[in-house]
Amino acid sequence: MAKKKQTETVVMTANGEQVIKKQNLALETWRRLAKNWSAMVGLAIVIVLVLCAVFADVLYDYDTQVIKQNISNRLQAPSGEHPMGTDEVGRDVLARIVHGSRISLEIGLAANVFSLTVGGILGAIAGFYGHRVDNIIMRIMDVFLAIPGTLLAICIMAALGSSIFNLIIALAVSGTPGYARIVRGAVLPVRDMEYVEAARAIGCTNKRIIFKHVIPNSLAPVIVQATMHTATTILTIAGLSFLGLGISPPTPEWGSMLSAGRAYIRGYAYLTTFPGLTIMITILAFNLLGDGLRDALDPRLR
Amino acid sequence: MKKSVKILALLLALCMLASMAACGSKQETPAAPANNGSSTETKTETKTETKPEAKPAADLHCAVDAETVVVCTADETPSVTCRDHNAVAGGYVNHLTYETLLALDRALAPQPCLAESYTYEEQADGSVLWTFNLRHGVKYHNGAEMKAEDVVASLEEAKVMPKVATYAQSFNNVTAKDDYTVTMTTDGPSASLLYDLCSNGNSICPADLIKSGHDFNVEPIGTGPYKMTEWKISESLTFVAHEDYLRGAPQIKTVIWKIIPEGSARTIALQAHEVDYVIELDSNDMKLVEDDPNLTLMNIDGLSHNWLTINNEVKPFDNKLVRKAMNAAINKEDVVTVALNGAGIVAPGQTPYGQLGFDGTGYDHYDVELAKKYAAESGVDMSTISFDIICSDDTKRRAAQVVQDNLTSLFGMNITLSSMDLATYLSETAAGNFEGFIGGYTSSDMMSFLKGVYHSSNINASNKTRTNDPQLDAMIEKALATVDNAAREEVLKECSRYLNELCCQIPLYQKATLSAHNANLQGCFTGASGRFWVEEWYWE
Amino acid sequence: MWKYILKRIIALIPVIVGVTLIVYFIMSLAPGDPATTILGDQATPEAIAQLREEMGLNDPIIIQYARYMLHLARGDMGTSYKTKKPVSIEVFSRFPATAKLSVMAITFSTILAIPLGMLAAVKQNSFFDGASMIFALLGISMPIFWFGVLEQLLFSLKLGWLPSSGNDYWYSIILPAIALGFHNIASVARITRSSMLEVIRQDYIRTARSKGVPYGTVIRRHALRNALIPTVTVLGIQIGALLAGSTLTETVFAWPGMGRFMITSISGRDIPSVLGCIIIFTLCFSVVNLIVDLAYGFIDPRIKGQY
Repeated sequence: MAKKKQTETVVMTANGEQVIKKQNLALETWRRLAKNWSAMVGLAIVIVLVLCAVFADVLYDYDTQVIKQNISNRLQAPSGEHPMGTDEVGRDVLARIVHGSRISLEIGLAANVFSLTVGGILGAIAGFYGHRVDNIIMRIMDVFLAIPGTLLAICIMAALGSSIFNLIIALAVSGTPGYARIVRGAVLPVRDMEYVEAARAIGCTNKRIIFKHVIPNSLAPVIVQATMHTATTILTIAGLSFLGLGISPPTPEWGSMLSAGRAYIRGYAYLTTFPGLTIMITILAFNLLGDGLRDALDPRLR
Repeated sequence: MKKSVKILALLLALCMLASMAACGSKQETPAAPANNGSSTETKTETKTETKPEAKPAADLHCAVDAETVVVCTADETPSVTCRDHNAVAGGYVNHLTYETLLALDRALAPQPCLAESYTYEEQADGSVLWTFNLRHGVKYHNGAEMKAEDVVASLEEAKVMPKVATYAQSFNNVTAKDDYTVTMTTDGPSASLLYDLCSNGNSICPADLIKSGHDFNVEPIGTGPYKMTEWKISESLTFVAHEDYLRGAPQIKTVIWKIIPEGSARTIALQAHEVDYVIELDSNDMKLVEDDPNLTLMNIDGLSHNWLTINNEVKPFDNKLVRKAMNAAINKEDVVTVALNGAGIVAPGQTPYGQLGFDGTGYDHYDVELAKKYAAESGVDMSTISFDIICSDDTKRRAAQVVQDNLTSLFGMNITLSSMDLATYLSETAAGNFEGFIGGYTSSDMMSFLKGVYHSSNINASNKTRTNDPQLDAMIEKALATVDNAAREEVLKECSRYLNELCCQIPLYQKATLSAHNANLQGCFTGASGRFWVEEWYWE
Repeated sequence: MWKYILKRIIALIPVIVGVTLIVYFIMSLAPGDPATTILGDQATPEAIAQLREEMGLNDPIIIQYARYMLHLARGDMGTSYKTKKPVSIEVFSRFPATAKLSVMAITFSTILAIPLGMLAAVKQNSFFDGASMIFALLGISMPIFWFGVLEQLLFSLKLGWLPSSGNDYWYSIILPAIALGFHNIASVARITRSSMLEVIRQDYIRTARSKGVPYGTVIRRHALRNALIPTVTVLGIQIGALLAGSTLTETVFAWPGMGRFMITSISGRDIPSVLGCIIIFTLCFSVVNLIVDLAYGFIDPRIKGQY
């Protein structure tokens, strides 16, 4: 209790104290996160994935193991030599999954960071100011929300042509309104809380209140949405691949691998099982981590 | 100037004979499939007069009952009219409800159908006058009788409908001489007229309904063996037997036409006996059907010719030796294995194998040494070539990956693949905005294949290699004007050999037509063009 | 409140204009010509030109759009390029199937997800918490096309209980609704859990507990109500996503809905059909959102005061 009081006093002090408070927040968050075993498992998996992405070239050579075909060796069931079997042109599935982590994480994270930034800011402004501003922003968001994400992505991909960069743009644009709505929904109750009223009473500007109080306090649902959305993004890529607008082969990307393996689902289930499991574990890890962060960041728990 | 009467008589006699074979009268054994249409079901069908009820429906494992067949297909037809679509899915449905003056038989030769016989005569101005004698007593679904004025109205309508007009260019001045005689003219001798008249776009519908603006998309009225009774959009279509059908009412009284887009779902539905017949079986499920004693697999060598198309206007693909080097460098066996899971054959020439006029002479097969030789002769450093291959579906993507791998490892070419959706792919390739793509063309006769794929008049449309070769154009036009089969075959073969030498594109495979059905459903036959005759099916 | 509803309905008009404008222009400017697409690989140049003329594609896009909007104002959604049927018929014959599937799926997922999320929050960090969240995650991480096939193999082929595809019987909807709903359990369950966790730690809950109110009553009376706000938001978004995102499910199970139609229309550049679907989706989506916004009011009286 004593500690809590102390932190809150720091928040309320003038500009000069701000830096100290930030350091405390990060440290405090980490300390709380470290106590949460499931979050640490999630973090460990995410770190392994990131390491996979960084050291993919050390594990498997791209030209000779990831994209090189060997037709006589196609559709081999998992074995010692190929722990996850080989695909329809005889490439090692494990090697492709390891290298695929690069592409999939890159696209998933880049698209989400974009959507989160733009959508989060718009949603916070709408929720905080309410009335006319809310109306204008949310009606524009409704226009975009009403165009189903897949359609918007398809249209953008069709108009721009399929490449990794365009895919990021397409996914980012279609993800933006979702974030805006979530953030607005989270801000609506928060802005009437006593501490926001208190901040306003001591003469804080609106901008300051949004960035220093409202956004940090609406983080929890946003983090949950962000972790879920990373998963959705990876699956949307698979959906776009299914429609012929995904990443072109032979680039290894989990969603495309899943979609290409779909044709072999009955005879060679491992072609979808392993990319599917990889996506699942990735999603799980992001979610466990996100959950832990939510608990750690929650100001009311401090 | 009259043509020799002898030939005419012979032709007539042949027509009469063939008409029986073509339209499959009951006592007939099916015309032996020529080298083009090989069916796994080669046993002769002996249709006995036993009632279908001889075996209880439960033993047949049929989806509904012993008078009903549930057919399932991947795509819904855009229209049930005969002139407002040019879709394959629409063609299947049209074959149930409509008929044409002539029809292609199982060996893909045009034979009389609604017309009983025809004669032709060269006129003083060089044009040719064709006279068609119609069958008497052919009844439409609404009970009216087919007359010559219906033929006139139908063919005239075909000329103005953009989706089928291509097949209505060869004839002009369609006139009714009397109720059962129709005449038309062609500009000079025309071999394509007979094939054109077999096309669905030239199906015969009642003239009064055409004139009164009847909505054929709601109620398609023709002379075909089935009439449509219900269309549940994106779900199913229902057809019932046309009792007054020209060749006798079909044994299967009800046909339910279900739309199941996913390949695996079609196979599951067939295995679970929810459907009796699958038109397009997914090649991945071939083994499952083969191993199931309750199911019959039909694996028919098809006419769909597929290539790596390269834009001959782009350097260095304007160099014939570069194209030939690429052709010899690709392991086509691997392409068939990977792209089609083995359900198809390696294309053995530049023109579709199995059609009248195919010739493989002079075509280079996979041969690495030969490829290197061509490359050396071409004077082009192959490793400097880099290009993009457009693929619009999974099969094409698999094929392109093998091509990419082969060309990269042999010559060090730098190849990228790009995925496009169908609309973008069609427009970009037609406009020539590409270097390479995996494409194909399906046609039931060699003439329209050659005209569509290689004639210079189809540049910016279906001539995607953008080949502009006056000598080739002349040969194609000569074939189109050669009515005599044997003579035309020679011209077409010459064309094939010329193309083998020219090597405008790189043939990869000919896709097989894969269908499957309940093993108790009898009388099923699929031709090389993918056509099948529901009116001949029965349960046993 | 009625005034508020009316205002929202009027506000729909600019949304629809905005949506049609964006989609019309993206579709028209995207590469791929509708006439070429309809005529396919074997088209001749003359046929393409003739069809383009017939479809009115030679006019400038802005004129085409204006013409479309004029017709739309009179309630005419135009004719499909591909089938030549009125778009209203194309769309409304498919809409009931999609609506039915979405409602069934959302019901299925809500019934499972809210209790799952609540219990997971109440028993935070227990085995049940972990297991239920992993179960919820299974749904979102299993691609529908894979899960759907597994369902078909088990329930149709092996057990023979349910039809594998189509819409022939009332029970045909079960498999697709489970496939689609399972995909949404995770989102709803997790948001319920996380907001529930937040609410449980609020002072007023602690107060209620310290006053001796039984735990179960606190959860039901006080916590659930407050925890539902984010859940309702997510449900609103999910319904929109379901309406449009049922494409894969509809494809796998041959369900005769709009998602399948819209995707084929997009790939065929059938602009009037795409717009028809979009307008219907927009209307549904906006109505659902209106209901969600009204529901906030019922759940949280502070927000209601603003209407």
